Amino acid sequence: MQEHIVVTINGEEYLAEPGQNLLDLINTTNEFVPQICYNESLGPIKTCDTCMVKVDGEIVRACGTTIHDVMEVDTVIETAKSAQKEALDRILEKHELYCTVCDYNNGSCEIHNTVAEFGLEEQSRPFEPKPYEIDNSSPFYRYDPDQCILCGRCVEVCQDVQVNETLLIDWKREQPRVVWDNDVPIDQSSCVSCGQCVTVCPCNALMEKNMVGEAGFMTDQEPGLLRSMIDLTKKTEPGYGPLFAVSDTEASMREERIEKTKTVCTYCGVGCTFDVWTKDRKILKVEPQQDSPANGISSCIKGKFGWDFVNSEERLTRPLIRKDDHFVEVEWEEALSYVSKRFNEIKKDKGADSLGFIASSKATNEESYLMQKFARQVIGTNNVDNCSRYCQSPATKGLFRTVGHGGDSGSIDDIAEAEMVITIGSNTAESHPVLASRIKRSHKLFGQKLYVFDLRKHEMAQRADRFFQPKSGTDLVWLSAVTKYIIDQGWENKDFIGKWVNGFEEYKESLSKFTLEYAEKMTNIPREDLIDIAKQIVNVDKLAICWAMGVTQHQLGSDTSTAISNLLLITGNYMRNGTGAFPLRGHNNVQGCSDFGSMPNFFPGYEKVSDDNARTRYEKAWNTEIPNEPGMDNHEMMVAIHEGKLNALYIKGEDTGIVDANINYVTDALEKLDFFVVQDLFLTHTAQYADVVLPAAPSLEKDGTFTNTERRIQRLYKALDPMGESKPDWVILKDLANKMGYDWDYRHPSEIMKEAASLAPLFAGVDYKLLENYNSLQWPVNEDGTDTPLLFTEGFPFEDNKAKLYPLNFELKHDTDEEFDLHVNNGRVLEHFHEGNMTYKSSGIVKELPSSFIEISPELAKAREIKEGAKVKLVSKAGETTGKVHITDRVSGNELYLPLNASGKSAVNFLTDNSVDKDSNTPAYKEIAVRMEVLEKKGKSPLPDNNYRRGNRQPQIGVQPERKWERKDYIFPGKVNQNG
Amino acid sequence: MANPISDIKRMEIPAEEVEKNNLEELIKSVSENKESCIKGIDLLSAMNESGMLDAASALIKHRKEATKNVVQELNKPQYSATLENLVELFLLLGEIDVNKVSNVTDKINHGLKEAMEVPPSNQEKMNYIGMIKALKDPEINKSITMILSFLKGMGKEL
Repeated sequence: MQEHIVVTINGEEYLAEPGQNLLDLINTTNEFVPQICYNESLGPIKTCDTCMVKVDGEIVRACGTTIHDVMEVDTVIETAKSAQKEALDRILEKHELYCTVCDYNNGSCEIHNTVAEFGLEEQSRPFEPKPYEIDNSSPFYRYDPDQCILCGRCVEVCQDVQVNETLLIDWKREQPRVVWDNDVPIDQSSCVSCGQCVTVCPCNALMEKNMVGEAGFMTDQEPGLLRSMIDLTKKTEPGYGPLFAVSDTEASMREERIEKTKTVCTYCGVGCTFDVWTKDRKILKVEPQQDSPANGISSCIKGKFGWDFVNSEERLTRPLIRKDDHFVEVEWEEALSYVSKRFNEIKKDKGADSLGFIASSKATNEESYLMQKFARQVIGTNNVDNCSRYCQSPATKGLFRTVGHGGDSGSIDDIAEAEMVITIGSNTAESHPVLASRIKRSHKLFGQKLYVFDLRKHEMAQRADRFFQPKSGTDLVWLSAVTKYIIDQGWENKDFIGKWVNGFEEYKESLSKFTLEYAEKMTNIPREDLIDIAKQIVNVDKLAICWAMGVTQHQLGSDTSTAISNLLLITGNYMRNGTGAFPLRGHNNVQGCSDFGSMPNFFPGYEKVSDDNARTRYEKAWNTEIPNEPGMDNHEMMVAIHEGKLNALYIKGEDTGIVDANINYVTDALEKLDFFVVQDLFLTHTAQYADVVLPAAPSLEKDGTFTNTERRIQRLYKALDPMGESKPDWVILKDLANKMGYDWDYRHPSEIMKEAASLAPLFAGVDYKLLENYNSLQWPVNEDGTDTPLLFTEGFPFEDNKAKLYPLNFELKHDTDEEFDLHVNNGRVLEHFHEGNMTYKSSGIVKELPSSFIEISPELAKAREIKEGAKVKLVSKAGETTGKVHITDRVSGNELYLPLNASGKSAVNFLTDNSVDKDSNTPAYKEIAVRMEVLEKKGKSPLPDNNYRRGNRQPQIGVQPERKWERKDYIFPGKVNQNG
Repeated sequence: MANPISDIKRMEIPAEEVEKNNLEELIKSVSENKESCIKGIDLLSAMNESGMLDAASALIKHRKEATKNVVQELNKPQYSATLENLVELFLLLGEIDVNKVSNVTDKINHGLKEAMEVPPSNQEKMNYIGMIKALKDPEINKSITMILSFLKGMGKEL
């Protein structure tokens, strides 16, 4: 039984938990206390002084008071009220109220609302302008020091939530203000444009540029006139009452023309949700919510500011059919009839298995479901796959082998809660920024241990307690050696293994090869370090391991993922909160696209096509016969095209011709197809090979669900109508199926989900009603609607409820040699998503990072006598690429890094070859040996001056209000009133 | 065999067809909102007859200049007092007891009515004595008393 403490507030008694914040308690009652700097997601900041209350006879900040003992609180007594008023007056001295002509007057301005609710009628001290200009240097947001009340929420969120450590308040100046880095313009700082400071700002001091002059009815004025209008507003509205009456009316008028729609981010697998504000087709802002399950108030540059692609002029707005050397725009009727006719002909002549289908991890679960239904029911083939083949299949494979579910063991909260986090082959801060922030916060504030294994010294590596650089492709070795050492020392979790794990003895045998000596030799991690890693792992109670493409995109990707899971099983790090395996999914819906059956060997919910029971269920529901053999995966499809066995291909939302490995080989294949249909937003590189291109609609233009890396199913709502004649993928698939003689009568994606849930036991209870707004479900979902935030709490989904240890071997599959002497690593950058088909449409993002580059170590640059901006050609056995050099110590020795955000001649996949993970056919993107030819010795740096990588972070904890209180001109508001 | 191509021949929709589609859309909307359309037309026609339509349309077209002129003008110091007065006056209205005022105005109105009823020929010049005598008339006496009470009350606040 937890003890409760009795707290009396204005004469009423309430029960508090020991250690509870007093303001939190007051907020659960009906009492009103002003609180401008306080934000539930950020906790007490203690800068605004408006929450003054009387506690046991003394005036204190409620937000700065922790409940330890019985206490008596008065929030309405004159001394408390006048201290609150004094604090509010000080805020209004810094912030000019001209609400009616302010773009932030949308009903949510916390200064406006607090002053109104407090009932303050008159300003006792006039507004004092500050001697600073507006900072307009960022392409995305602007800072107006004149309106800033120095509450420090932005600093708090930047330092301790996003943990980018860019913003500070310079308390030493005569007129304090928020500064970026060591007081440089926003654009020149380490700011990563995550936009969280803007989201938490209680007023108009930090505002999205898309809002400025757009949100209000009377705010789109020239600066001089706006100033005059502000003055006029103030003359005519001397008391706050009339001012608020007018501005509240204007605010409610805005609701008539600004729509706020909940959506799910379409970029990475973290699954951030937010409200998107639209005015006609204009996107004014993206506002994450406290209730957003995966991200709370957090966002990154792409989710917050990367939506320009939706309104890009390059969007396809009508179907296209190839006629000789160009495409012709046609009506839907013509396009669909043509596709239907050609599919039928090819099926008739060459059989159903001569057609292949590739679904999109950008599209919704419902659209993945329909794609595989189309392949299996309408065509009659299992040749359907998705882009998880390029990245995630090995992780899924490794988890299926050992623990039986191919997804994250828990939620992002579990990663934050772990005592120790190991990341392997994951550039988390750039690839999954919002998830990385949770680790960065736990590491910075709560003592979480962070061990990072990567080739590159990226941000997470720089922050880690220990950073290791194992030789490329050898993670399996150190993982197995550490596991072996733990068992040899008798440190394994014997209770856990005895109760929950099969195959221990056999597995132990299989480890004999992985001695510390062998591991040191293969990985270059010294023996003592391996021992230290083992000790650290067994010393913590809760370990979570996160991994990504640095593990999976190797020839031993599945095996290495398996080794991670083996280690977690040996140490008992499953079944509990704060523990588990977290393969960080790359696309918004790479999890869901596989979950809902767009895989050659699985029906929705990972039931094998060879499973008679499952197959019969689908055959019966769809009134068709389905082959019991798995179809071809993406990789096999490309081989089959070259062999003449696959003649038609339908690709939905995937730029295969850039993102698949060895693109020369892939585009050769695309040229050989008899018939090729591409469905996309743009005429992508891949679409240029198509016979028919169908214009699809992006996430903002449709309803549906995405499943994030936490197995969390979340609804997106339509915010805009599809542009031109474009249509959501599910509508196109439905129309095409009907054109081919079927009767698909879905009127809304909820009906598709209903069908999927009725057929796949994993999603039995999934229902749109349970997913309304910010509600979500983490699969498996039982029929009664209960979901599973943490997997395996009742055991593992195998026959005897026990997990399996899976023996592994190792052989080094690739290496550099004398001719190809450099290793190329590749991956994402923060600013762009993947190849950049969407993010390059944003002028702001392009300004931050206009192109790709080749990272080269200072040592290598010196050896090859090249300087920043040099132009080089990289040549591999498969092909060549050229690009500009950026010299950085993020890479070392003969390691190169080539970001993915390049099409044209710099694309990394000109270099990759056909080698694949032996178990999942995932391309071994990370195994490229090249030689480098210098074309120009120096040039203009590919990294602009205003890029955040050139900034200068200023880490500190929080906003440090003590430094405000130490100022000579600071008087505690309670004191002013007590004395006078 | 398909080479990569990127030229797109845009669909040219004949102007007549665009016009036809637009008209169809319009007709549908008009038919669905018949009543409001008719009332709207009435309103427009009334505004047109009065010349208001021209004025309003000119004002809207030049709204930026208009706002600028008005706002800049009103911001001049000489209007400062007027604006403040306007607001003060507005606030003042709130403090006046309308019920009582209406009581008084009723009386004034009645007085006016009687005054108007006396034919001009009867409006003889009244001398001092006549005035004193008139005070004996209970109706006149009530009025004078009320005016004096008002002056007294106002004096208390001065």
